[in-house]
Amino acid sequence: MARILVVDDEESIRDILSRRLLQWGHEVVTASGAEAALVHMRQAPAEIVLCDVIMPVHDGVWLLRQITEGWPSTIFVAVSGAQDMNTVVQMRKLGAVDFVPKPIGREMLHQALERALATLETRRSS
Amino acid sequence: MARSAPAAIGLLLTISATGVAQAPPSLEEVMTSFAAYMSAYAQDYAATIASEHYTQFAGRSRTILDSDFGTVRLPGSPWLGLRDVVRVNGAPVADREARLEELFTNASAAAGLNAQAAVRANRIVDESTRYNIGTVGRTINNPALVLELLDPGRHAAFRFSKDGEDTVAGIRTWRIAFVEQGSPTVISGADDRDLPATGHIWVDPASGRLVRAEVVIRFPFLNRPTKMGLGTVIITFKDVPEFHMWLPDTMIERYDELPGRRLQDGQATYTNYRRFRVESQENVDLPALPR
Repeated sequence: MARILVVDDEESIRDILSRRLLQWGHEVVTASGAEAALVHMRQAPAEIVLCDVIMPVHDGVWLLRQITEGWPSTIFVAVSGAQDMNTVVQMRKLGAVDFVPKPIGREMLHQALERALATLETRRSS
Repeated sequence: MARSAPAAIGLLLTISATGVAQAPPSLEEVMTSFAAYMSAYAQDYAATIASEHYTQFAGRSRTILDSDFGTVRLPGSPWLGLRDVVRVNGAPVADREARLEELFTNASAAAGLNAQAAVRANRIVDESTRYNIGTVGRTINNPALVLELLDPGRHAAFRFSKDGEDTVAGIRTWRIAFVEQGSPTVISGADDRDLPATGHIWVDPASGRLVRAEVVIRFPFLNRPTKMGLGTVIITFKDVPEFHMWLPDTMIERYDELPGRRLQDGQATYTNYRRFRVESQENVDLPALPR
Protein backbone atom coordinates (compact mmCIF):
# COMPACT_ATOMS: atom_id res chain seq x y z
CA MET A 1 0.00 0.00 0.00
CA ALA A 2 1.22 3.50 -0.68
CA ARG A 3 0.44 7.15 -0.12
CA ILE A 4 -0.64 8.46 -3.51
CA LEU A 5 -1.14 12.07 -4.62
CA VAL A 6 -3.61 12.56 -7.50
CA VAL A 7 -3.15 15.81 -9.43
CA ASP A 8 -5.69 16.83 -12.04
CA ASP A 9 -7.60 20.05 -12.73
CA GLU A 10 -10.72 18.02 -13.58
CA GLU A 11 -12.68 17.10 -10.49
CA SER A 12 -14.32 14.11 -12.18
CA ILE A 13 -10.92 12.59 -12.97
CA ARG A 14 -9.74 13.15 -9.42
CA ASP A 15 -12.88 11.43 -8.15
CA ILE A 16 -12.52 8.41 -10.46
CA LEU A 17 -8.88 7.91 -9.59
CA SER A 18 -9.40 8.46 -5.85
CA ARG A 19 -12.28 6.00 -5.70
CA ARG A 20 -10.35 3.25 -7.44
CA LEU A 21 -7.16 3.80 -5.47
CA LEU A 22 -9.06 3.78 -2.18
CA GLN A 23 -10.78 0.53 -3.24
CA TRP A 24 -7.35 -0.97 -3.73
CA GLY A 25 -6.38 0.04 -0.20
CA HIS A 26 -4.14 3.05 -0.81
CA GLU A 27 -4.03 6.32 1.07
CA VAL A 28 -5.08 9.08 -1.34
CA VAL A 29 -4.78 12.85 -1.34
CA THR A 30 -5.79 15.07 -4.24
CA ALA A 31 -4.75 18.41 -5.70
CA SER A 32 -6.36 20.46 -8.46
CA GLY A 33 -3.07 21.89 -9.72
CA ALA A 34 0.71 21.74 -9.55
CA GLU A 35 1.13 24.41 -6.87
CA ALA A 36 -1.40 22.71 -4.59
CA ALA A 37 0.40 19.43 -5.20
CA LEU A 38 3.66 20.91 -3.96
CA VAL A 39 1.92 22.13 -0.80
CA HIS A 40 0.80 18.54 -0.14
CA MET A 41 4.29 17.24 -0.85
CA ARG A 42 5.85 19.67 1.64
CA GLN A 43 3.32 18.68 4.32
CA ALA A 44 3.53 14.91 3.84
CA PRO A 45 5.40 13.60 0.77
CA ALA A 46 3.53 11.09 -1.36
CA GLU A 47 5.29 7.94 -2.48
CA ILE A 48 3.51 7.95 -5.83
CA VAL A 49 2.19 10.94 -7.81
CA LEU A 50 -0.45 10.40 -10.49
CA CYS A 51 -0.50 13.61 -12.50
CA ASP A 52 -2.36 15.00 -15.49
CA VAL A 53 -0.12 16.27 -18.30
CA ILE A 54 -2.08 19.34 -19.38
CA MET A 55 -3.12 21.67 -16.56
CA PRO A 56 -3.56 25.42 -16.31
CA VAL A 57 -0.71 27.59 -14.91
CA HIS A 58 1.86 24.78 -14.50
CA ASP A 59 1.68 21.57 -16.49
CA GLY A 60 2.70 18.03 -15.58
CA VAL A 61 6.22 18.48 -16.96
CA TRP A 62 6.81 21.42 -14.61
CA LEU A 63 5.53 19.43 -11.63
CA LEU A 64 7.62 16.40 -12.60
CA ARG A 65 10.77 18.56 -12.58
CA GLN A 66 9.87 19.93 -9.11
CA ILE A 67 9.13 16.46 -7.71
CA THR A 68 12.29 14.94 -9.19
CA GLU A 69 14.38 17.71 -7.66
CA GLY A 70 12.67 17.93 -4.28
CA TRP A 71 11.58 14.33 -3.68
CA PRO A 72 13.74 12.05 -5.84
CA SER A 73 12.39 8.85 -4.30
CA THR A 74 8.80 9.68 -5.28
CA ILE A 75 7.43 7.71 -8.24
CA PHE A 76 5.78 9.81 -10.92
CA VAL A 77 3.06 8.49 -13.26
CA ALA A 78 1.60 10.70 -15.99
CA VAL A 79 -2.08 10.70 -16.94
CA SER A 80 -2.67 11.90 -20.47
CA GLY A 81 -4.98 12.26 -23.40
CA ALA A 82 -3.96 10.95 -26.82
CA GLN A 83 -3.03 14.43 -28.02
CA ASP A 84 -0.33 14.71 -25.33
CA MET A 85 1.77 11.80 -26.55
CA ASN A 86 4.90 13.80 -27.36
CA THR A 87 4.80 15.37 -23.92
CA VAL A 88 4.42 11.92 -22.39
CA VAL A 89 7.58 10.80 -24.16
CA GLN A 90 9.36 13.89 -22.78
CA MET A 91 8.10 13.05 -19.29
CA ARG A 92 9.33 9.48 -19.60
CA LYS A 93 12.78 10.83 -20.46
CA LEU A 94 12.59 13.07 -17.39
CA GLY A 95 11.84 10.12 -15.12
CA ALA A 96 8.11 9.36 -15.14
CA VAL A 97 7.95 5.59 -14.76
CA ASP A 98 4.69 5.12 -16.64
CA PHE A 99 1.58 6.80 -17.95
CA VAL A 100 -2.14 6.11 -17.98
CA PRO A 101 -4.04 7.13 -21.12
CA LYS A 102 -7.43 8.82 -20.86
CA PRO A 103 -10.19 7.70 -20.68
CA ILE A 104 -8.80 5.87 -17.70
CA GLY A 105 -9.41 2.15 -17.89
CA ARG A 106 -9.29 0.03 -14.77
CA GLU A 107 -6.82 -2.42 -16.31
CA MET A 108 -4.40 0.26 -17.50
CA LEU A 109 -4.52 2.06 -14.16
CA HIS A 110 -3.88 -1.21 -12.36
CA GLN A 111 -0.92 -2.01 -14.62
CA ALA A 112 0.62 1.42 -14.11
CA LEU A 113 0.14 1.24 -10.37
CA GLU A 114 1.63 -2.23 -10.17
CA ARG A 115 4.65 -0.93 -11.99
CA ALA A 116 4.90 2.12 -9.76
CA LEU A 117 4.67 -0.08 -6.65
CA ALA A 118 7.33 -2.44 -8.00
CA THR A 119 9.65 0.50 -8.66
CA LEU A 120 8.89 1.88 -5.20
CA GLU A 121 9.77 -1.47 -3.65
CA THR A 122 13.06 -1.53 -5.54
CA ARG A 123 13.93 1.98 -4.37
CA ARG A 124 13.00 1.15 -0.79
CA SER A 125 15.22 -1.92 -0.72
CA SER A 126 18.23 -0.30 -2.41
CA MET B 1 -52.70 36.59 -42.05
CA ALA B 2 -52.66 33.99 -44.74
CA ARG B 3 -48.85 34.16 -44.97
CA SER B 4 -48.37 33.42 -41.32
CA ALA B 5 -49.84 29.94 -41.57
CA PRO B 6 -46.79 28.16 -43.06
CA ALA B 7 -44.55 29.71 -40.44
CA ALA B 8 -46.79 28.42 -37.69
CA ILE B 9 -46.76 24.95 -39.20
CA GLY B 10 -43.03 25.09 -39.50
CA LEU B 11 -42.72 26.04 -35.87
CA LEU B 12 -45.01 23.20 -34.85
CA LEU B 13 -42.99 20.74 -36.89
CA THR B 14 -39.79 21.94 -35.29
CA ILE B 15 -41.20 21.59 -31.80
CA SER B 16 -42.61 18.23 -32.65
CA ALA B 17 -39.29 17.01 -34.01
CA THR B 18 -37.36 18.11 -30.95
CA GLY B 19 -40.04 17.03 -28.52
CA VAL B 20 -39.88 13.34 -29.45
CA ALA B 21 -37.16 11.55 -27.58
CA GLN B 22 -35.38 9.08 -29.81
CA ALA B 23 -34.95 5.63 -28.39
CA PRO B 24 -31.29 4.79 -27.91
CA PRO B 25 -29.96 2.29 -30.43
CA SER B 26 -29.54 -1.31 -29.41
CA LEU B 27 -26.12 -2.97 -29.26
CA GLU B 28 -27.08 -4.96 -32.35
CA GLU B 29 -27.82 -1.75 -34.27
CA VAL B 30 -24.56 -0.12 -33.20
CA MET B 31 -22.59 -3.23 -34.12
CA THR B 32 -24.26 -3.32 -37.54
CA SER B 33 -23.23 0.31 -38.12
CA PHE B 34 -19.76 -0.48 -36.83
CA ALA B 35 -19.39 -3.45 -39.20
CA ALA B 36 -20.44 -1.30 -42.17
CA TYR B 37 -18.04 1.42 -41.09
CA MET B 38 -15.12 -1.01 -40.76
CA SER B 39 -15.82 -2.58 -44.16
CA ALA B 40 -15.64 0.78 -45.93
CA TYR B 41 -12.84 1.99 -43.71
CA ALA B 42 -10.52 -0.92 -44.50
CA GLN B 43 -10.56 -0.12 -48.20
CA ASP B 44 -10.01 3.62 -47.80
CA TYR B 45 -7.37 3.32 -45.08
CA ALA B 46 -5.36 0.86 -47.17
CA ALA B 47 -4.66 3.65 -49.62
CA THR B 48 -2.79 5.87 -47.13
CA ILE B 49 0.75 6.26 -45.93
CA ALA B 50 1.61 8.11 -42.72
CA SER B 51 4.79 9.33 -41.09
CA GLU B 52 5.19 7.39 -37.88
CA HIS B 53 7.23 8.66 -34.91
CA TYR B 54 7.67 5.71 -32.57
CA THR B 55 9.49 5.66 -29.25
CA GLN B 56 10.18 2.32 -27.58
CA PHE B 57 11.32 1.81 -23.99
CA ALA B 58 12.80 -1.40 -22.60
CA GLY B 59 14.40 -1.12 -19.16
CA ARG B 60 16.96 1.63 -19.47
CA SER B 61 17.07 1.38 -23.26
CA ARG B 62 15.18 3.68 -25.53
CA THR B 63 14.98 3.86 -29.29
CA ILE B 64 13.19 6.25 -31.63
CA LEU B 65 12.06 5.05 -35.03
CA ASP B 66 10.86 7.42 -37.75
CA SER B 67 9.14 5.48 -40.50
CA ASP B 68 6.72 5.53 -43.37
CA PHE B 69 3.76 3.45 -42.32
CA GLY B 70 1.17 1.85 -44.59
CA THR B 71 -1.26 -1.03 -44.48
CA VAL B 72 -1.94 -3.70 -47.08
CA ARG B 73 -3.79 -6.96 -47.31
CA LEU B 74 -1.99 -9.76 -49.08
CA PRO B 75 -4.12 -12.22 -51.03
CA GLY B 76 -5.43 -14.83 -48.59
CA SER B 77 -3.52 -13.26 -45.71
CA PRO B 78 -4.27 -10.92 -42.83
CA TRP B 79 -3.88 -7.16 -42.85
CA LEU B 80 -0.23 -6.25 -42.69
CA GLY B 81 1.22 -3.09 -41.19
CA LEU B 82 4.28 -2.03 -43.16
CA ARG B 83 6.79 0.01 -41.20
CA ASP B 84 9.51 1.23 -43.52
CA VAL B 85 12.07 2.64 -41.09
CA VAL B 86 13.65 5.86 -42.34
CA ARG B 87 15.67 6.93 -39.28
CA VAL B 88 16.79 5.19 -36.09
CA ASN B 89 17.50 7.55 -33.20
CA GLY B 90 17.78 10.35 -35.73
CA ALA B 91 20.34 8.62 -37.96
CA PRO B 92 19.19 7.79 -41.51
CA VAL B 93 18.93 4.12 -42.36
CA ALA B 94 21.64 3.35 -44.92
CA ASP B 95 20.77 2.18 -48.43
CA ARG B 96 17.14 2.93 -48.00
CA GLU B 97 14.86 4.13 -50.75
CA ALA B 98 11.25 5.24 -50.69
CA ARG B 99 10.17 1.62 -50.81
CA LEU B 100 6.71 1.88 -49.36
CA GLU B 101 5.39 4.43 -51.81
CA GLU B 102 6.99 2.54 -54.65
CA LEU B 103 5.46 -0.70 -53.44
CA PHE B 104 2.01 0.80 -53.15
CA THR B 105 2.19 2.64 -56.43
CA ASN B 106 3.27 -0.37 -58.40
CA ALA B 107 0.80 -2.79 -56.91
CA SER B 108 -2.94 -2.81 -56.98
CA ALA B 109 -3.33 -2.65 -53.22
CA ALA B 110 -7.06 -2.22 -53.37
CA ALA B 111 -7.42 -5.58 -55.04
CA GLY B 112 -4.53 -7.20 -53.18
CA LEU B 113 -0.84 -7.20 -53.90
CA ASN B 114 0.72 -9.25 -56.61
CA ALA B 115 3.19 -11.99 -55.69
CA GLN B 116 6.30 -9.92 -56.33
CA ALA B 117 4.99 -7.05 -54.23
CA ALA B 118 4.04 -9.50 -51.48
CA VAL B 119 7.63 -10.68 -51.22
CA ARG B 120 8.81 -7.09 -50.95
CA ALA B 121 6.13 -6.28 -48.39
CA ASN B 122 7.21 -9.18 -46.20
CA ARG B 123 10.82 -8.08 -46.55
CA ILE B 124 9.90 -4.62 -45.27
CA VAL B 125 8.13 -6.20 -42.28
CA ASP B 126 11.10 -8.43 -41.52
CA GLU B 127 13.56 -5.56 -41.79
CA SER B 128 11.52 -3.26 -39.58
CA THR B 129 11.17 -5.78 -36.73
CA ARG B 130 14.94 -5.86 -36.27
CA TYR B 131 14.79 -2.29 -34.98
CA ASN B 132 12.38 -3.28 -32.17
CA ILE B 133 13.94 -3.37 -28.73
CA GLY B 134 12.90 -5.49 -25.75
CA THR B 135 12.51 -9.18 -25.12
CA VAL B 136 8.92 -9.53 -26.33
CA GLY B 137 9.01 -10.13 -30.07
CA ARG B 138 5.84 -8.94 -31.74
CA THR B 139 4.21 -7.86 -34.94
CA ILE B 140 1.05 -6.49 -33.32
CA ASN B 141 2.58 -3.10 -32.59
CA ASN B 142 0.79 -1.16 -35.31
CA PRO B 143 -2.71 -0.01 -36.31
CA ALA B 144 -3.18 -2.92 -38.75
CA LEU B 145 -3.96 -5.03 -35.67
CA VAL B 146 -7.29 -3.24 -35.34
CA LEU B 147 -8.22 -3.81 -38.97
CA GLU B 148 -7.51 -7.51 -38.69
CA LEU B 149 -9.04 -8.07 -35.28
CA LEU B 150 -12.19 -6.05 -35.90
CA ASP B 151 -12.78 -7.20 -39.45
CA PRO B 152 -16.57 -7.62 -39.80
CA GLY B 153 -16.01 -11.15 -41.08
CA ARG B 154 -14.67 -12.07 -37.65
CA HIS B 155 -17.41 -10.56 -35.49
CA ALA B 156 -19.18 -13.90 -35.10
CA ALA B 157 -16.10 -15.19 -33.26
CA PHE B 158 -16.34 -12.37 -30.69
CA ARG B 159 -18.72 -11.55 -27.88
CA PHE B 160 -19.50 -7.84 -27.63
CA SER B 161 -21.23 -6.09 -24.73
CA LYS B 162 -21.81 -2.45 -23.90
CA ASP B 163 -19.64 -1.51 -20.94
CA GLY B 164 -20.43 2.19 -20.55
CA GLU B 165 -20.05 5.53 -22.28
CA ASP B 166 -17.06 7.87 -22.52
CA THR B 167 -16.34 11.14 -24.26
CA VAL B 168 -13.38 10.54 -26.53
CA ALA B 169 -12.01 13.16 -28.94
CA GLY B 170 -15.08 15.27 -28.19
CA ILE B 171 -17.51 12.50 -29.19
CA ARG B 172 -19.88 10.75 -26.82
CA THR B 173 -19.00 7.13 -27.51
CA TRP B 174 -20.14 3.72 -26.43
CA ARG B 175 -17.46 1.74 -24.67
CA ILE B 176 -17.99 -1.80 -25.94
CA ALA B 177 -16.13 -4.72 -24.38
CA PHE B 178 -15.12 -7.62 -26.56
CA VAL B 179 -13.90 -11.16 -25.93
CA GLU B 180 -12.50 -13.34 -28.70
CA GLN B 181 -14.00 -16.81 -28.47
CA GLY B 182 -13.14 -18.57 -31.72
CA SER B 183 -10.09 -20.57 -32.69
CA PRO B 184 -7.64 -20.08 -34.24
CA THR B 185 -7.28 -16.64 -32.71
CA VAL B 186 -6.06 -13.59 -34.60
CA ILE B 187 -3.00 -13.28 -32.36
CA SER B 188 -0.84 -16.30 -31.66
CA GLY B 189 2.24 -16.93 -29.55
CA ALA B 190 5.68 -17.91 -30.77
CA ASP B 191 4.70 -21.58 -30.29
CA ASP B 192 1.57 -20.98 -32.40
CA ARG B 193 -0.60 -21.10 -29.30
CA ASP B 194 -3.95 -19.27 -29.44
CA LEU B 195 -3.86 -15.95 -27.58
CA PRO B 196 -7.49 -14.80 -27.32
CA ALA B 197 -7.87 -11.04 -27.38
CA THR B 198 -10.04 -9.05 -25.02
CA GLY B 199 -10.47 -5.33 -24.76
CA HIS B 200 -12.69 -2.42 -25.61
CA ILE B 201 -13.69 -0.38 -28.61
CA TRP B 202 -15.05 3.15 -28.38
CA VAL B 203 -17.66 3.62 -31.08
CA ASP B 204 -19.80 6.60 -32.08
CA PRO B 205 -23.27 4.99 -31.81
CA ALA B 206 -24.73 7.33 -34.43
CA SER B 207 -22.27 6.54 -37.22
CA GLY B 208 -20.52 3.35 -36.16
CA ARG B 209 -17.21 5.22 -36.32
CA LEU B 210 -14.32 3.72 -34.38
CA VAL B 211 -12.64 6.36 -32.20
CA ARG B 212 -10.42 4.22 -29.98
CA ALA B 213 -9.55 0.55 -29.57
CA GLU B 214 -7.80 -1.27 -26.76
CA VAL B 215 -6.57 -4.83 -27.27
CA VAL B 216 -5.36 -6.93 -24.34
CA ILE B 217 -3.73 -10.35 -24.49
CA ARG B 218 -2.32 -12.62 -21.82
CA PHE B 219 0.61 -14.68 -22.93
CA PRO B 220 2.90 -17.33 -21.42
CA PHE B 221 6.68 -17.11 -21.58
CA LEU B 222 8.23 -19.92 -23.61
CA ASN B 223 11.19 -20.36 -21.26
CA ARG B 224 9.17 -19.81 -18.05
CA PRO B 225 5.78 -21.50 -18.50
CA THR B 226 4.57 -20.64 -15.00
CA LYS B 227 4.92 -16.92 -15.69
CA MET B 228 2.30 -14.95 -17.57
CA GLY B 229 2.62 -11.70 -19.44
CA LEU B 230 0.08 -9.03 -20.24
CA GLY B 231 0.23 -7.10 -23.51
CA THR B 232 -1.88 -4.04 -24.23
CA VAL B 233 -2.13 -2.10 -27.47
CA ILE B 234 -4.26 1.03 -27.75
CA ILE B 235 -4.98 2.81 -31.02
CA THR B 236 -6.65 6.22 -31.04
CA PHE B 237 -8.06 7.87 -34.14
CA LYS B 238 -8.36 11.51 -35.22
CA ASP B 239 -10.31 13.38 -37.82
CA VAL B 240 -8.17 14.11 -40.89
CA PRO B 241 -10.40 16.55 -42.81
CA GLU B 242 -8.54 16.41 -46.12
CA PHE B 243 -9.17 12.66 -46.22
CA HIS B 244 -12.73 12.84 -44.86
CA MET B 245 -11.68 10.02 -42.55
CA TRP B 246 -10.70 9.28 -38.98
CA LEU B 247 -7.20 7.88 -39.20
CA PRO B 248 -4.83 6.46 -36.57
CA ASP B 249 -3.49 9.20 -34.33
CA THR B 250 -1.52 7.32 -31.69
CA MET B 251 -0.50 3.78 -30.81
CA ILE B 252 0.39 2.82 -27.26
CA GLU B 253 1.83 -0.57 -26.38
CA ARG B 254 2.98 -2.11 -23.14
CA TYR B 255 4.09 -5.57 -22.10
CA ASP B 256 4.27 -6.56 -18.45
CA GLU B 257 5.35 -9.70 -16.71
CA LEU B 258 2.63 -10.27 -14.13
CA PRO B 259 2.45 -8.94 -11.55
CA GLY B 260 3.70 -5.48 -12.28
CA ARG B 261 7.11 -5.92 -13.91
CA ARG B 262 7.28 -3.78 -17.03
CA LEU B 263 9.23 -5.45 -19.80
CA GLN B 264 8.84 -2.85 -22.49
CA ASP B 265 6.48 -0.26 -23.83
CA GLY B 266 6.21 2.29 -26.57
CA GLN B 267 4.13 4.97 -28.15
CA ALA B 268 3.79 6.15 -31.70
CA THR B 269 2.15 9.12 -33.37
CA TYR B 270 0.92 9.27 -36.97
CA THR B 271 1.04 12.47 -39.02
CA ASN B 272 1.54 13.70 -42.58
CA TYR B 273 -0.99 11.38 -44.12
CA ARG B 274 -0.81 11.11 -47.88
CA ARG B 275 -2.80 9.02 -50.26
CA PHE B 276 -1.01 7.12 -52.96
CA ARG B 277 -2.65 6.58 -56.29
CA VAL B 278 -2.81 3.20 -57.94
CA GLU B 279 -2.68 4.04 -61.59
CA SER B 280 -3.47 1.50 -64.24
CA GLN B 281 -2.56 1.86 -67.85
CA GLU B 282 -4.75 0.21 -70.39
CA ASN B 283 -4.57 0.29 -74.15
CA VAL B 284 -8.02 0.44 -75.58
CA ASP B 285 -8.71 -0.02 -79.30
CA LEU B 286 -11.28 2.63 -80.06
CA PRO B 287 -13.49 2.12 -83.10
CA ALA B 288 -12.67 4.41 -85.95
CA LEU B 289 -14.86 7.43 -86.06
CA PRO B 290 -17.19 7.57 -89.07
CA ARG B 291 -16.02 10.06 -91.61
